[in-house]
Amino acid sequence: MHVADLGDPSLGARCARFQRVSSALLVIAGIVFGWLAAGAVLFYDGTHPVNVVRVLAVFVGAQFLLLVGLAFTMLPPDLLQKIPGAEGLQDLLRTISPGNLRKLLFRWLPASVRSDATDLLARGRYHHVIFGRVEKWGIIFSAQSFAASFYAGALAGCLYLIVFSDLAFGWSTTLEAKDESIHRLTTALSSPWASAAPNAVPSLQLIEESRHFRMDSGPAGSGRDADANLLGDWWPFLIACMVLYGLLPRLLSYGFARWRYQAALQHGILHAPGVSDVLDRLNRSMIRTRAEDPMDARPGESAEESSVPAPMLPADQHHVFIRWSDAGQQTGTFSDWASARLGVTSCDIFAAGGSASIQEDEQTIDSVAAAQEETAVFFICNAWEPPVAECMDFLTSLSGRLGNGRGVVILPLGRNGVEIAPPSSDHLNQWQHRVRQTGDPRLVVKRIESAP
Amino acid sequence: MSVPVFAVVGHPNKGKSSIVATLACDDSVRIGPEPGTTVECREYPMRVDGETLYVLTDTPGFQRARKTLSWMTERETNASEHPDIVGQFVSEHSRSDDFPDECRLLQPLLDGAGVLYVVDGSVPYGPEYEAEMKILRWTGQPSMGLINPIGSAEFVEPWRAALGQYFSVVRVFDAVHSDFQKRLDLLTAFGELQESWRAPLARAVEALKDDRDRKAEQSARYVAAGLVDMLTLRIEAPHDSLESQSRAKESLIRKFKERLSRIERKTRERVEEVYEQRSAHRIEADLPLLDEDLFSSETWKIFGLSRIQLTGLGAVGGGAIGGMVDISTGGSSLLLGTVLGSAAGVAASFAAQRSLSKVRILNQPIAGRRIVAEPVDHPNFPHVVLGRARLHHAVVSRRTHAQQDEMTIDEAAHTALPPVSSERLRRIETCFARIRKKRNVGQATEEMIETLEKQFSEDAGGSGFEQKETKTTK
Repeated sequence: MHVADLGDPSLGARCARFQRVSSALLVIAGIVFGWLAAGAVLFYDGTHPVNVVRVLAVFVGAQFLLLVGLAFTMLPPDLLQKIPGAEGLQDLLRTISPGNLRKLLFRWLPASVRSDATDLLARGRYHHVIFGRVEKWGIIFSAQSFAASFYAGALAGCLYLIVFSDLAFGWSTTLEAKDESIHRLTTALSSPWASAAPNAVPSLQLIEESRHFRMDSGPAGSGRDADANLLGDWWPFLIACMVLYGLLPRLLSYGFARWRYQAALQHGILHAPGVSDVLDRLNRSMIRTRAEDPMDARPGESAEESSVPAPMLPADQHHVFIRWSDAGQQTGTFSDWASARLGVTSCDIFAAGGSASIQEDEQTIDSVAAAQEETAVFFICNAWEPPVAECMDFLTSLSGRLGNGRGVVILPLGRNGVEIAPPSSDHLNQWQHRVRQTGDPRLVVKRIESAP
Repeated sequence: MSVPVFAVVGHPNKGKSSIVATLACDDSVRIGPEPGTTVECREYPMRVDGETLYVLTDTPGFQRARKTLSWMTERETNASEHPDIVGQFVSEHSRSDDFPDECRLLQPLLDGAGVLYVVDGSVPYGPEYEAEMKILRWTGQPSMGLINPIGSAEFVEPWRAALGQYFSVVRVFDAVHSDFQKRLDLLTAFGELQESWRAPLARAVEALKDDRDRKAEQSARYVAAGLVDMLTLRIEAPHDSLESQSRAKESLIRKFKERLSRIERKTRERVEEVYEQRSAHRIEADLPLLDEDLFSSETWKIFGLSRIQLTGLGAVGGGAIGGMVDISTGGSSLLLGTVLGSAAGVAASFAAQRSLSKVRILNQPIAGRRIVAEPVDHPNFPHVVLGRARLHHAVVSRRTHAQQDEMTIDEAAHTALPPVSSERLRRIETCFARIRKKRNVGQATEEMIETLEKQFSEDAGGSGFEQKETKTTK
């Protein structure tokens, strides 16, 4: 899909646009300031010559100090931590960096770009992990854009004044300075281009001739009956100094800052939300242990709460107990328990389920069905064991054989250690629920009550 | 080579699905007290980069085991024919309604699956299980008896004796409370059932260990990111000069608190997502301790560092600065810098109030007068946030997917966590300090992640909760 089809540009695209606009404005501001600085430093009204010392101080000396500051700003955090107070100084330098001029430019930006800039700064502040280094190198990069364009503007301004006006250069200082010392300094400064451009190396004669004292008089303000032509010979040296010590270091620092800025952006991407997950996925095996599709939500059906009263068994009636899978085995003798807890005096006890065979189950059903009609039939089971289909088959078969007049009371037994106890409501519910599913009204689940 | 398949079989409602949920880390497995919750076989393949290393198959429970065995016994001639008879049983009854569950659970075994027979160690052994075990023995497949004590381990030993007669390997595995190492041990034991299964299971175990490390690292990353967001949170709002300053501050502080809580919630959700705890929303609602307001005094008391600990960390910070003074004076200060620095650090730690945020009014070049809320100053604040995150991670990472009840966390759960070593605490505090000052936040965060990852790995595999569980059992 073509980018143009996407409609509104993303925040990233809008921020990039803001970056371009503000960078262009910074470059323009740098050129303007540079031009004005050149005009101020090379100001010549015919009374006093342009002071070479001032030109060197502004375009070489100050540059040197600024570059030291820049180098300090660029120091890596690890190194800074080892130097007491270095972090604070770096913060200060960053605060006064011309890169911050960008923020001042906001005032004159169109409303839409201002809004983007606010977004960009807010994100920068919020995601320090991502933008901490980007912010640092962004400021340095902006500062270098400004500085390089400043020197380009200053150089252009100087060349303009040199070409289109007649400047007279001299040098003057209140400090004790001998001509030979200045010569040594200028020779040292011009050593890089001395062989390539010998006329850009000030001679001792030029230095001697162009020294200017405050008390001197004369139309050019020059000191010692200097040759007017000679006073203009400083310009190749000054232009070379501005190029080599002004513009060139700034272009190099601009290139370096740009490189680090790009690296910080790339590094920042690694910290962007979700990137670590993607990298993690790329670098590690993808492990899956789940089923292909999650299970559907569980059925909403829930068992009703049981409120079945304890079975009150008539003492004079004969009872039949069917112990399913040895239920109630934890008590000593089942008949004793039935007598003590249920008040049963006369009963038959049959076994079914568990280790009994299917044939033995059928025999039990035959025996129970053959008992007298008034005999109450109790089905004893372990409440914690779920009512499996085999058990329900037995109950349904038994109920069918007993006929309409006789029911089966199902007594799920709970346990408390080795003692028989009332079943938990969960267990009782599961039995009630399962028995209800048979639709047989002759099967009734009841709960035994606690021992008195 | 065929992929090892393990069919989890047994009596209904004895924890088969719990075991599957825990081993497959799948909380969508339906686990219910009502019998017959599982009505179909369901496969849980363990895949590494798309390659299946083993498959767990959850099966319905036996419903008519004695009738099944009776049918088979009637056709028995000699032991070598047992597997064929099982096959005949399935093919004969697969289209009828007589033995639907038996047919479903036996089919994977006929296809070559290993048998994992699950019983509940908290209830007594009963004779009805014998028919099931005999049927499984008839299949001739490699098998293991698994005692899953649901609630208590009261009847584990009788079960062990009974299962030992039918299965060559019998293990106790608490599906709900087992720690990660026990899960790996169980998988390794699965591999021992058959020679050809050993290698894929060993690979699976290694992959799961790697995955566990990744989860700890990823959680540490999310927690660290949340901490950074909290520590560097800054909220701005335009301030109308006509508006009451106190009302504006109040409103901003409220928003600030909401943002912090939102970051914490988001971090929790991410950690739960990492550990594939899908029921995150339910857990969120049921964390009484973690749902305590982040700024409540209770939370502060439980998770914050003690004054003594804070004093120690304050002394470290101040002492370090003082130490630098000593170095710069070439030792001529007779270590006075370190002493004074420590004292200043202690004083700073004590003097710091539990202020929520710094609220200031700024005149900005872009947007004029704005009111700004910035991070809280109290040295305990990041430790409170980290303590909460750490507890949440420990609970989530230790929670098996068979635990589908409400997650309960109390002060005891917090005290069960192993203490953070003073060395780690110091390293974390250094990271906090750098993040607060916004100095090389990226590197500080990476260092914090590294420290938290180790701590989280220990928390996730720790035995604190297990010990607590054992005590309860006894």
